[in-house]
Amino acid sequence: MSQRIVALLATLFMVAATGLCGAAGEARVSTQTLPNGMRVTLTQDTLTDIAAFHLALVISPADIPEANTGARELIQQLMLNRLRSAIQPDGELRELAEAIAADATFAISSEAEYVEARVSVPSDMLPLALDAVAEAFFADTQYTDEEVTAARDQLVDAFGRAASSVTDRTYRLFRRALLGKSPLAEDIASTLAGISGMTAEDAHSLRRDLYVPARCSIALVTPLREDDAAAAVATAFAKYGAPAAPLALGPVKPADASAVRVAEGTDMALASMVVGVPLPGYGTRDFVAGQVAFMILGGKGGRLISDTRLSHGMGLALPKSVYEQQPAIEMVAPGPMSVPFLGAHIVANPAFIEDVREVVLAHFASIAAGKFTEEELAGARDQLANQYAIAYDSYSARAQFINLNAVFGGDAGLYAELPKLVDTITAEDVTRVAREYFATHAIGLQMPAS
Amino acid sequence: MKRVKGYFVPALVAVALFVSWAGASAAPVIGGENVSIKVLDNGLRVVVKEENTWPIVSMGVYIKAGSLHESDADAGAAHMVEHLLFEAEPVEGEGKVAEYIEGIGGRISAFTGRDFTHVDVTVASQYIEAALQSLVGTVLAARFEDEVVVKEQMVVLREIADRSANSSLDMGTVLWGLAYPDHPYGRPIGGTAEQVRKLTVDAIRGFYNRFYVPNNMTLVAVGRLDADWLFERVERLTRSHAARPVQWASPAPAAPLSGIQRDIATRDSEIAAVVFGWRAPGISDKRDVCATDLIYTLLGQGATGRLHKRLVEQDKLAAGVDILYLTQKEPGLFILTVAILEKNELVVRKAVLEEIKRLTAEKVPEEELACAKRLLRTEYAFSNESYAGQVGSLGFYDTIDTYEFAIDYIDQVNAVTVDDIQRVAARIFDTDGYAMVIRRRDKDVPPGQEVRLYCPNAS
Repeated sequence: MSQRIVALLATLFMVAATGLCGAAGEARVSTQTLPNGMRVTLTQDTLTDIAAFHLALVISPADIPEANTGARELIQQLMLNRLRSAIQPDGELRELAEAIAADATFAISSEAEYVEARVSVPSDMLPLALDAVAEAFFADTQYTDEEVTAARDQLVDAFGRAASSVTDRTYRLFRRALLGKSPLAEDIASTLAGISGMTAEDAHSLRRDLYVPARCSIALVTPLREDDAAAAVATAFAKYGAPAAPLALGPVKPADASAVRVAEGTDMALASMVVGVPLPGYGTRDFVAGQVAFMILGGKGGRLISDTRLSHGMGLALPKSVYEQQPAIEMVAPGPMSVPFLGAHIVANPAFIEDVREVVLAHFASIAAGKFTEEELAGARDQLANQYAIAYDSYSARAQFINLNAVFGGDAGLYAELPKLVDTITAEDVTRVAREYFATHAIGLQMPAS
Repeated sequence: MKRVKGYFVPALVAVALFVSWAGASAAPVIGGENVSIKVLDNGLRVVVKEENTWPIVSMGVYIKAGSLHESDADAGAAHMVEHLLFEAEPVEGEGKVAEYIEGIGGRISAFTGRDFTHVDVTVASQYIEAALQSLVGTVLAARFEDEVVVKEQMVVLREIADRSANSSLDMGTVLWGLAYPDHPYGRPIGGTAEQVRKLTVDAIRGFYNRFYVPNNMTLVAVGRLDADWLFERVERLTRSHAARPVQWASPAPAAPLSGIQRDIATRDSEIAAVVFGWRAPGISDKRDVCATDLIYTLLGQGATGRLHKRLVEQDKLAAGVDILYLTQKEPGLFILTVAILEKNELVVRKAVLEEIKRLTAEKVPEEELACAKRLLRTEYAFSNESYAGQVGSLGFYDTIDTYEFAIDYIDQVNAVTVDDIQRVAARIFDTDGYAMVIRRRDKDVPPGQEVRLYCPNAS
C-alpha cells in the first residue's frame, strides 16, 4: 500500500472534530488530531486561489539541554539550507521557486516558544508545500559535519548582527527581567556558546527526540473543501512520528517581583529602555481587558504616545523629521505567548532616564487607579476591535493567528471569540486587571558606556 | 445498493478521497458570482462584493480625476485635492476622514495616478456605517479652508523635493516626460514644484468641483456586508449630490515616438542605471494588454525572467532587472530598468535590445508561456488575497474600463497565444522609437559607441 493511501486512511481515522464554529457563510474552523498527535485546524476561505498554512512546533529553550542551548536555531538553519538548495529555478522544488518570485511565502523561523513555518502558495501547490515542510521538520535525516559547520558560521554572523542592534539588546534584557530565571530568557552569549559546541550527532539526536508531530499544531486557510485540505495534511504528515498525545505547553511564569536588568553599550549615545508589565493568560477575557489597557496607553493618541516628555526623548533636541522616522517611543503590543505583556521602548537623554521610568510607571499606575475617561475606554475598544479585524487581512496572517490561538489559548476558535469580547470590557475590568498585574513591572535598560 | 464487506470500506473511501483531491478545483482569483452593481440616479456606480467569511469591510472611492485630467493651468491639482481630502471637514459626519478612521484603529490610504485618484478604507464590519458616511461625505462634500491649502502646498512641495532626491523616482518622471512630450501623461503626477507653487485655491476648488461629482466616480465595497443595504445607504448619503456634466475632453492621442529620446545625467554611484520606455497598449486593447502583462513576466519576473537569467545569472553584467507596466486608460509605458556596473553599460543595452528583438523574431516556447501564465496568475492572486486588494482591482478597472475585467482577467490571460506574444512584442518594441534615461558617473560616451548599440540584425 502506498504511503499516500496510508495517509488517506489516516485522514479517515482522525480523532473526531473537537471544535466547530462559524455562522452561515462566516469562517468555519474545524479542529482535528492526526493519529500521530499532530493538531490540525482547517478553515475554508474562497476569496481567492491561495492556500496558506502556519505550522508551530512547540519547542522552547526549556526543552533543550543547557549544553545545547541554541540547538533550535542551528537545526532551523540546517533545515533552511537544505530547502534553499531545493527551492531554486533548477532545483527539486522549482515550482515553489517560481511561486516565490510571484509573491508566495515560504519561511521558517524560531520564535521564543516555538519553531514556525509560514507558507502561502497558489492552492494547487499546497500538497507540494506541505510535503516540503513535513520532510524538513520530521524526516529522519542525518546532517553532515560540513553542513553543521556552514550553518554554525551563518548563525554566528546572524547573531552578531542582532547583537549590534541596540533595540534588540534592550529587548533581551527586558525579557530576562520579565521572566526571571526561565530558560525562555536566554541571552545571545549562551546561545552562541551552545551552538559552538554542537556536533552533527547532537543535532540528529535532538531532532529525532524533539521534532515530532505530537509537538506540532498546523492551521490551514485555503479555498479547498475541508475534506480535501484534511487529506492533503494527512498525506504529508501522517507518515511521520509514532502515535502520541499532543503536547501541552510547559508552565512559564513571570518573575515574582519587579526587576531591572541593566547593561552598558559602547556603541550608543542615548539611553535605551523597555518598560513593561505582564498581562493575564492569553485567550482569557482578562487578557482582552489587558489589551484594552494597552490601547489606552499605546494606541492611536494613547497616553504614552502623546506624552511629549516621552515622544521627545525627555529633552533630546532632535529635529521633527527624525522623530517622524524613528520615534523616541515605540509600543510593544501584547500577543499570543505564555507570558503576555505590554511594553514600551523608549530612547532618551541618559541624564533623564530615571524621569522616563517614573513617567511611564505613573501612566501604568493611573490605569490601575481607574483614572481614565469613558471616552478613552470607548476609543481603546474601537481600536482593538479594528486591530483584530485588519491585522489578519491576508491568508497567511489568518492561518498564523488561528494556529497561535490553538497553541497558546488552547482553542483555535478563539480567533473569532476574542474580538467579540472587546465590547464587553468595562472600566472596572480594565482597572481590576491593571491593579492585579501592573504591580510587578520589568525593565531592560542600556546606558551608554561611561 | 449492494453492500460491501466492512474492511473494504476504508480503502474504497480512501480511493474516493484520492480521486476527489486530484480533481479538486482551484478557486477563481476573483469570483464574480457575489458581485453586484447599481448605478444610482446621480450616476454614481456602486460595486459590491459580499464576502461573509471574515468580519471586515474594505471600501474605496475611485474618481476619474488624475493628472490626465489636468490642464497646464491647474497641473498638480489632482494630487493637491487628494491631500486636502485628508484635511477637509465634511459638511456632516465624524470630522476629518483620516482622523476618524485612524482614531478607531481602521486603515486609510489614498493615491493619485495619471487616470484617477482613490481613497480606500478598511474597518471591522461593525463600523461600516460611520466609515461609509465619513468617506462619502469627505469625497463629495469636502470644504477646503484657505490656510489648510497653503499648509498642504508646503507638504506637497516637500514630497516633490523628496521625489527629486530619489534617483529611481526621478528617472521615472523624466522617462514619462520624454515618452509623452505633447500629452498629459508626460506631466509629473503631482506637478512640478513651480506648478504647485502657482496653484491657487480657486484652481484647486475648481478642479474638485469639476471632477468630484457622483457620475465621475465608482464606490467599491468588499466584505461582510449586505449589497442591498449598501446601495440604499449610499443612495441616501449622496441624494443631495446631483449628476453634473464633467467638462473635460480626452486629449488627442500621443504622436508616435520618433527616434531614441535620451536623457543622460551624472550620479555619483558605482552602479549606473538605464531605463527604457516603450509605448504599450492601453485598456481599449484588452487582448494586447494581457499579452503585454505576459511579456513583462517572460522578460522580467524575478529569477525566472529571460533578462534576469541572461544579464544577472549567466553573463553577470547587471545587478538587477526590473520591469513595470501599468495598464492605463490611454496607451501607457512599458518600463524596463537595468542596474549595472558602469563599464558594462553598452553591452547591457545591446543585450536588452537583442532580447526584446528575440521576442518579435522567435515564437516563445509553449512551455515558457505556460509558466509565465502561472506566474502572472499567482501574482494576481496574491494582490487579491485581502478585501482591500479586491477593492483595488475592481476599482482600478472600473475607473479605466469596467470592473468585470478584474474578474475576467485571468481567463483573458489564459487565452493569449504564442502568436499574440510575437505580434504584441512587435507592436511595442520599436528599436527606432523609445525613450531612455541613463544615470551614470560620466555623462558623455563617445558617439561611435552609441551607434554600435543599434543592431537591427540581432536575433
